[in-house]
Amino acid sequence: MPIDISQFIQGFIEDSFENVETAEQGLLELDQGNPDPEVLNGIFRAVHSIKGMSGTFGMDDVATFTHVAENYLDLLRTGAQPVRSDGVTALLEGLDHLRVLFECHKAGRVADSPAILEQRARLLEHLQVFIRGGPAPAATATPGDLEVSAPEAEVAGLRWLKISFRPHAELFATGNDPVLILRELATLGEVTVQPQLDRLPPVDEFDAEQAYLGWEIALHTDRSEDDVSEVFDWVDDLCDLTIEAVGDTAPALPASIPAAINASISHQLEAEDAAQEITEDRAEAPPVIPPAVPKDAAPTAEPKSAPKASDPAPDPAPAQSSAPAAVDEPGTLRVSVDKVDHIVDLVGELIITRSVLRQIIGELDSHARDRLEHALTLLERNTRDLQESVMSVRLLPIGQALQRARSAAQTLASTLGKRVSISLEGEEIEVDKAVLECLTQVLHHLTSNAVIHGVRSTAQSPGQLSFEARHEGGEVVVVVSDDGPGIDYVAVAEVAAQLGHFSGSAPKPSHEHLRTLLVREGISTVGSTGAGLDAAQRTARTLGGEISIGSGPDGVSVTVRLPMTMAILDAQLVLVGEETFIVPLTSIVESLLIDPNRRHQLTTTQEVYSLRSESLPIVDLAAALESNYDQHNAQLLVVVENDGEKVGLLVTGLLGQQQVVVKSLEDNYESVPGLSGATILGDGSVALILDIAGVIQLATDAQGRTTRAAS
Amino acid sequence: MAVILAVDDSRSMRRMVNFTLESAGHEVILAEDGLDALEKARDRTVQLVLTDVNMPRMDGLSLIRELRKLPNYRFTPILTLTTEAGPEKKKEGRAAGATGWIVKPFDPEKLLAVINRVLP
Repeated sequence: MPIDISQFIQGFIEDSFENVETAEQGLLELDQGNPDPEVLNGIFRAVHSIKGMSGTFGMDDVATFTHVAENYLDLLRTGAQPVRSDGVTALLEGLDHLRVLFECHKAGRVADSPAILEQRARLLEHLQVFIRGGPAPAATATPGDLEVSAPEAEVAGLRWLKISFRPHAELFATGNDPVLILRELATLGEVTVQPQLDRLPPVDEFDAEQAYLGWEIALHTDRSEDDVSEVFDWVDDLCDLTIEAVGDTAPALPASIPAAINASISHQLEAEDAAQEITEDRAEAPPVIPPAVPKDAAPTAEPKSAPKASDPAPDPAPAQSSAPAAVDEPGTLRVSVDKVDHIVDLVGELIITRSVLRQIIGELDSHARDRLEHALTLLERNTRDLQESVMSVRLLPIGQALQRARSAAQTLASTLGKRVSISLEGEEIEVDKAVLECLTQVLHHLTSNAVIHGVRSTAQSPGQLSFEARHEGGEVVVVVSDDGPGIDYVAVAEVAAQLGHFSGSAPKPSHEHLRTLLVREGISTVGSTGAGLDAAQRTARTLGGEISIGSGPDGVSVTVRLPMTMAILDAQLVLVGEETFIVPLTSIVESLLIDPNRRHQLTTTQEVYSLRSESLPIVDLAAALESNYDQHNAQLLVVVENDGEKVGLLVTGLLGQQQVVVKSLEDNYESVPGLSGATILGDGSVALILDIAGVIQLATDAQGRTTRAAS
Repeated sequence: MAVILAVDDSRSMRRMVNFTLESAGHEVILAEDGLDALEKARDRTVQLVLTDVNMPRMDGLSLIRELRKLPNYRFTPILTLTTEAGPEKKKEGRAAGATGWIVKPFDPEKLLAVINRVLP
């Protein structure tokens, strides 16, 4: 739909009269001996404006005239020509001429009277003389030669053109986009493109602001080569471009897949084949491992790829939800966590099945039984090895959690205006991924706590903070220590008393009790921060871990214990009443038959057992776990160690030892204090796994309740 | 449908460009010189800038240089409205960071065709 601008002609004519006024005023005011550049500029612009719009409105007479006048004015304002009075006069006459032209246009008349034409010719000649009268820069247009539109297209007939378009890297920076250029090219005829990938760097070296792709293009068109190259007008200095006519057959376009991409694709295909073989060897109902899908060969840094796709370059395939295996360097594989977790689950099932077999063996007669037992022992060794290997896949060095804690500590310290020097130890210790994630969170709380309370820096020396990690049995232990003044027990006791943690009118809580409160209740002497020791404790407990705190004049150290690996546990089965529970084997020191003489009543609610030189608190598991079973006749004590303290668990019976698969209570039910998980036994029944620290806590609580009830 | 900043010190030019672009469904912001344009470009991010070259207070090439320094205008198409398309003009425009040019005088159809070349 053509756009009608005739409504603007009158406005343009009015504006032009104004511009003529302005120019005239300027010329009259001009100090010809010492011309003001601003005034010259103003005159120039006024005439330039008139010229700019006149062609649009079809006023060619105005356009051609002002073009010459403008050229002269340009020379004057740049100083290329000196201002001279006869030149100024010529310009003033020129402005009068323009007025005449505009009067004609305004009246709708054509300005072609002989007088006007003569005046025009004379003035143009004068102006040309002044223009040439001195050093003149190369004019890019001569009078009457206005570039209005592209040259007429030569009709060339339908034929094929082969175009090579290789943008330079900086093409985007000019605001140009190859896609839009290709799109415009497609308006000239039928287009086929072949992207050229030879300048593509590896994905992690991409700079999203650089142009890497090139194109070999076949264009079937009847437009001239000039028309075609006009499409590239704006970028001809920003690309390598060749256009050649190739006759009546479509040219073959070379594909280009660089060696690096090729190599990575073959690696991928090999990995796929290997994975395929493993899955085929599995017996029944193998899990469906989706075959790895080749990564997109088209880069993601260039958001749009070539419009017409008849190229053999691999099409981007939709990514699957479990990330495909990719090759990083020779000898390594990046595998999705989901796949590994699945394998871990399978190993777990295998172990359960093994227990079932054990169960069955018990029911066999002796000969077959012996042979089966032997075979089963072998199987146990195999599965243990398998389990360890698989679990080690999930192992990560603890270093990153420690380093993150260190930088968080630095940031917090400087926010608080403190200086702190931090040391790390044991970074190379490996723990399961889930443990690492838990640890990171726990350390986050402990670090804030340590920096806020435990770091004192003076002008001379910064505070000291250390993070030490080590293995202990099946656990990883991380100790966060500071060199601050230690726990302010008095302040803590006050806050605790206010919060109603003590009964009685004159409480004298022991330091130990206060420490417990700190960890359990998150009491803070600087107001509640929501984070802190209790949050750390809860987080650690989710994995069956534990926080404990020690304090002295040299500072405070907080110890985090977490299991190293997650899923499989060496278990001691115990009977409490009629229920089977599981005590982690690693926490058991010894089990013994109670000698009644060594059993003493310490307080009305607390019993102890003398074992060699130690006095062990006795925890009645039935009471702690709120079972109604009366264990006072129980004769078995399982001595366990928790955070350096030994405790005796009273149980009804000792069953066997075996490996169990830990199933999460949170995932399947909810978190229960005193329990760190559950498992399925060989006979299919569910046994709950005790969290020793939690159990001790429950026992203490129970005692406290009994004590308070009694008092 | 884009937001276009059109800069020209000629009122008639501004009116014509405004009319043409709005007829095609674009939103037009007008400015009368480089400084005015820079201010308006900062207030509102536009998808395309059309600018005359010779203007008072701040000319077109200076405007383009200043715009290219702004993070959200680094890759915006910016076209100069120029009366001549000779090689030095091209070089000047390119050096300042222009995407391309439109030769004046132009008719409205040509303006719209060129705009389609730079707007996705």
